[in-house]
Amino acid sequence: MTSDNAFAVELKGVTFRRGTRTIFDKVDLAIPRGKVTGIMGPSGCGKTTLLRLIGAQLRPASGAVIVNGQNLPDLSRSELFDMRKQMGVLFQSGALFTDLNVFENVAFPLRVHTSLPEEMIRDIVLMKLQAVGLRGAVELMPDELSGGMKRRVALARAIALDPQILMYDEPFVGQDPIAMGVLVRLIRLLNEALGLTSIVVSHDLAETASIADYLYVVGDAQVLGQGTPAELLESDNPRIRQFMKGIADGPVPFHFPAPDYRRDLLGGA
Amino acid sequence: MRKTSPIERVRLIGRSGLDVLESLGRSALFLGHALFGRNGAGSFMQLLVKQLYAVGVLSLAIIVVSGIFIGMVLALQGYNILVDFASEEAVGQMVALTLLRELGPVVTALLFAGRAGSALTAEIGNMKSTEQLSSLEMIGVDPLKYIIAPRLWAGFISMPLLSAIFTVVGIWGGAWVAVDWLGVYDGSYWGNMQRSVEFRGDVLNGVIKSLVFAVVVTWIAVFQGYDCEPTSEGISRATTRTVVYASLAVLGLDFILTALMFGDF
Amino acid sequence: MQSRSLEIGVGLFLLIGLLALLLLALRVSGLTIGSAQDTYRIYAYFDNTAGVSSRAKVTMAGVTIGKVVAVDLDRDTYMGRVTMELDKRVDNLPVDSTASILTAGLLGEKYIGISVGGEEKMLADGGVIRDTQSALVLEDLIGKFLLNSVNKEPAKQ
Repeated sequence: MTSDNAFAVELKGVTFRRGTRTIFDKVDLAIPRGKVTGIMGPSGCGKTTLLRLIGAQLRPASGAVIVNGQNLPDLSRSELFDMRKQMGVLFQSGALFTDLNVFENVAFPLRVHTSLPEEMIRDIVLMKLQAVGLRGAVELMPDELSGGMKRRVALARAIALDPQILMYDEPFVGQDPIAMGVLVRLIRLLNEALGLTSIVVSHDLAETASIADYLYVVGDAQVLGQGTPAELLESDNPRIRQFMKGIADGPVPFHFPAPDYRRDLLGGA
Repeated sequence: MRKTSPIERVRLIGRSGLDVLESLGRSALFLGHALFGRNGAGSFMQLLVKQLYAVGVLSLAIIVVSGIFIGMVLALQGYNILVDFASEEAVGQMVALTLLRELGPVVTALLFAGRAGSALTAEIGNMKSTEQLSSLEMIGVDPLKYIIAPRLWAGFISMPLLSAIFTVVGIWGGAWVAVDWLGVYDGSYWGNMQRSVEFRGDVLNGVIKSLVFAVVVTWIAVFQGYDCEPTSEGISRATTRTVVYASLAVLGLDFILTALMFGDF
Repeated sequence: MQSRSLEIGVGLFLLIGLLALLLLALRVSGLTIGSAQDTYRIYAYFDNTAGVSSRAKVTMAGVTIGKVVAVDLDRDTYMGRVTMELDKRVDNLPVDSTASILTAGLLGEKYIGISVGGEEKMLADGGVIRDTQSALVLEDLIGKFLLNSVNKEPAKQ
């Protein structure tokens, strides 16, 4: 299924609306194959929506979402489920199945999509857990794990079927520095060891910049800028500067749009 | 408090009507997808057994306890009324018919909505908010088949059985009060009952009623969970909606079913 | 992952549920297995069917042998026609059997009692019982008692 295309995922003129709100307005975006691509932007700008568009959990109002040369909106339901076997997603909360233990969680995709014998499944699961350093936790239930460990188990589950594309939804949110360091290392390591295409959606600037080969900054339903982390830091676009440097007021205003302050205070009397 | 013109008002009514139709259609599609269509992951029986446990076995205690008490109260009240007409032997018949035709299916459905229905909604809503449903989808498993279908079937199977258990326990509870406590002759309690209760007219109709309630209550519970807003607030609102909608639907449908089954048209 | 106790619990639950259904059928409704289906229909015409409704019992010598399925008015004779379904096993009712409307207890439900006649010919499916005794109407009875004029011609209604 590998195509020679240099891009694993391409969005062409994608428009997406939720209700009357336009989340994306004719967005073009290309994810290079075999690299770690960061997608950054302020909270609520639709980064998770972007992942769901690539995972075909949402349909764009118009435009094409091309994964491995196939346009997702054109695929049938069963073709979609096949396509998703080549993708792994690490959800924000880990999304482990709470009624299954760690072993069964990681084994789940294998049981669903393969008819491997039980010993083989066991070996694969242990290998994947070893890769994330949690082989010792096979018997635990998800609610016995810390947040960082949950995410690592979820990562093991996401790579169980050896996908070509791995997407991370806000992997760094709410992690302590050690867990964060572990995750940063894992993402980089997995990308190189398995030859994956990684997409990291995040608003944690330092971590994302440290592992990404290429960055997109989205906001206002548009792609504001793209380039290597170094290029973006040097950008003279004020919106990108504000985001990259973390300045409180700027093109993205500190104040939510409101009527004139003085009139509001005095007019009420 | 803006004044709306009549045309505006008609438009609003029309729109809310369309909204209702839309959500009805969505939930019907949801039901169809979940029940019919090829099965997803794993052995369906295993999933079903798990859900039968959660939905049926765990509701057993509340059903049995309520059944006993309702049967006892019916016998007590019935005796007090019937004794004035010197026909307290008919208390068995009264308890049995009331339970079989009405209270068995209806109270079971209401208790089921409160016990199992709300739990289903909360569980599925929680799965949605922790992205477990999305995660299943991305793994390539249809959550309708893997999560929803076993829960629906478990509800459909459990409720008629629970209702039968409720009725039996109630009739025996009534017998305990009427025969052992109030001194109604044992033979006339059971004899009157057997003479007046008909298998097809009363027992089967009761089972049919409770099957209908099972479909409606489980459907509402599961759909509300699946369709809820994935926040803790959204889940709690969906849970409330499940209990309210399910109870109203059960009571409304009960009238219609009773009219169809026992009304002489 | 499936624990045995869970499966046992579910099995037990299903068993108890089915047992409850069985109890409802046998103990509560007094259903006897195998007798439900085979029935045949006969008709009886009454001057007054007051109180008999569909699903009322049909008995003979105190034993239930069938039930009423319909009560309607015959347009030509102005009599009430009661349609009964009787057990196939009781197929030896002579054509001159009598059907009377009886009451269980003073205020109880109305049912139909059949007493045997003496003819050689038996009632078949669709047969009609001519010899009937109408419902006892309490008001008539009291009226007659007060006027002390029993044995006059029966009240027409």
